[in-house]
Amino acid sequence: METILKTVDLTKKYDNRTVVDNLNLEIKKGEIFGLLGPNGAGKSTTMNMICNLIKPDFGSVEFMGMDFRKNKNKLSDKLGYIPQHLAIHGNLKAWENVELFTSLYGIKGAELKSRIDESLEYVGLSERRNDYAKTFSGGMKRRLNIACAIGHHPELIIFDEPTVGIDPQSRNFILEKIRESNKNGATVIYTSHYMEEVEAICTRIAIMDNGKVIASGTSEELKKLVSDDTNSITLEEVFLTLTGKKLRDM
Amino acid sequence: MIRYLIKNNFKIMFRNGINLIIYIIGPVIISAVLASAFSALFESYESVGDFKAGYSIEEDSELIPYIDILKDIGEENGVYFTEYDPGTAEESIRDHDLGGFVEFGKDSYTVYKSEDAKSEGAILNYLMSTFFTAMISGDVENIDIHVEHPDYAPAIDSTDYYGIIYIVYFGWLAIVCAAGLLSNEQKHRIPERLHVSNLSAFQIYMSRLIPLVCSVALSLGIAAVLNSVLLGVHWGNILLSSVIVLVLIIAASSFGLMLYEFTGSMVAAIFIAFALIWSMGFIGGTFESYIMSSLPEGLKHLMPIYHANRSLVELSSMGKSDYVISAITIPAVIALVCSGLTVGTACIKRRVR
Repeated sequence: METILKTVDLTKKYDNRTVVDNLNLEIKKGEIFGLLGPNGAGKSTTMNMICNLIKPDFGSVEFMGMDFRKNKNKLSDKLGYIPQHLAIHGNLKAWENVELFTSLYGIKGAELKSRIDESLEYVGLSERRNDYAKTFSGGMKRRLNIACAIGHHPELIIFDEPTVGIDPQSRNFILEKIRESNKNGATVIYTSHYMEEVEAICTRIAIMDNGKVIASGTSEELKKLVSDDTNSITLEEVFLTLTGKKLRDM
Repeated sequence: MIRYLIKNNFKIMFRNGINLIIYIIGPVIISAVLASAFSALFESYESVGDFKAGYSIEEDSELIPYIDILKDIGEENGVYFTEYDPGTAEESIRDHDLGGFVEFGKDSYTVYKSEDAKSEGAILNYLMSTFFTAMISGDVENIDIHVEHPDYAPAIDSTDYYGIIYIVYFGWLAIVCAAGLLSNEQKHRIPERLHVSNLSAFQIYMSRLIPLVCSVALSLGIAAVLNSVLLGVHWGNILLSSVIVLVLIIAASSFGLMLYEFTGSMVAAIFIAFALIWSMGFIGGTFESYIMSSLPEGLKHLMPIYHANRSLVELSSMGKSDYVISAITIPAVIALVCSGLTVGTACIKRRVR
């Protein structure tokens, strides 16, 4: 399978503390790649470096075969980023939020209108398109957050903990949509603390700790690292065995 | 590419009810209150023409050699001095219908003013203050004092004066209008999304500056119309006045955005902007033609607000002003410098992040 994104010796230090340490990830086109790790493992820093939001101290990100930092102009419209925080404007209506963020990729006029309709339909907010985002529930805001990142039809979508703080129905809806996006051809990078979500949707998973990938593979392959009886062990048990039970954010 | 961003940022600013209250209702209410409070001062000043002033001087006064020079300068400015006996200031004002009285001691002077001639008293005060400043600096021979009288600088009433200058003050506080947008952006880390999409620092800056200028200009435009309709404020040359106000709003917006870029805090940016505007207004917010002020002219001219206030008020009262050029060029330079510094700082921040 063709590689869509590759990190090469990606390293980031803050105050002599290495947050991401020579990270080498390879994400294949068409897969849903899950990135797991305890708090402070370096996931968010890795995501930020992949999205060009922070500069690595060393190493590079290759996206579609090119150095992303050097070819940002050519490649930025191929990437969709759904941040963990709700990066939407409460004082804008749902359709205006989607318009604002979709238009940043050069889409305009009738095409933009059609993409707004499509994105809102996709996340089930068509009927609330004229309502202000500030009147939405947590789950609806999460869905709008997603709609704002997919209108430009990115080839790689990064979901950074998209289901934090929402009810099971909304969570299920979002997971279904991630699967649907993937079926439609998008490659997905997915980070979450919910193991069952990752296990349910990801085709391949990497577990990060202390800035490094300590294990990667399919869910089955990861379970085999801990026990031969893969039916009797959960991904969470694998995660705790590999990363330890000590609290990380003390 | 940023057309829709500008449009939506404008909507966010203009939908904020607090902005409407601050920029539309605020200037109208403050103008009305101050115009009413100070109407008597402006009205009394309208009647000022040439007037008589008295003086007395002690025999051992060190100021005796300067009295003739003072009398000449007084006459040039329509203030005619007559000598009276020492200790008769109050009765001389009363009995001889004087606009004021100056009592010269050995090395000092005291100005007596009448309740019935406040403006004459203010002119006398200004004349003496300027004369003594020149005398102390040893330049009394070349002293150049100009007291502008309503005879050749038509007086403005308090409604026009405050109705105009409070549009200027609120214009300089443009950054407040962006508070809702920028705070929300910061709270929800929206700039991250803008950076992922590859917007340049210049594009992000313009996507804030343009809607900010439009919002403040539109709000203050409505306030100016309300001032005209409700209070009867006259703007004189509307086209030229609009250009002056628009340029100052552009300068104030870029200045405020620069403070925000430097501090990274909306509260700090507003606090600094407010403190600076207040200081500018305190030093250069008034001018002799209409309100007496003893602050040096040179210092006032350093304040951008002085040029805008003076040109707009003179356009209203006389239909022309020598300050129009400076009222446009100074803010234009401020806008260019602040924009350059803001975009430059944003670029550096992005590179090192």
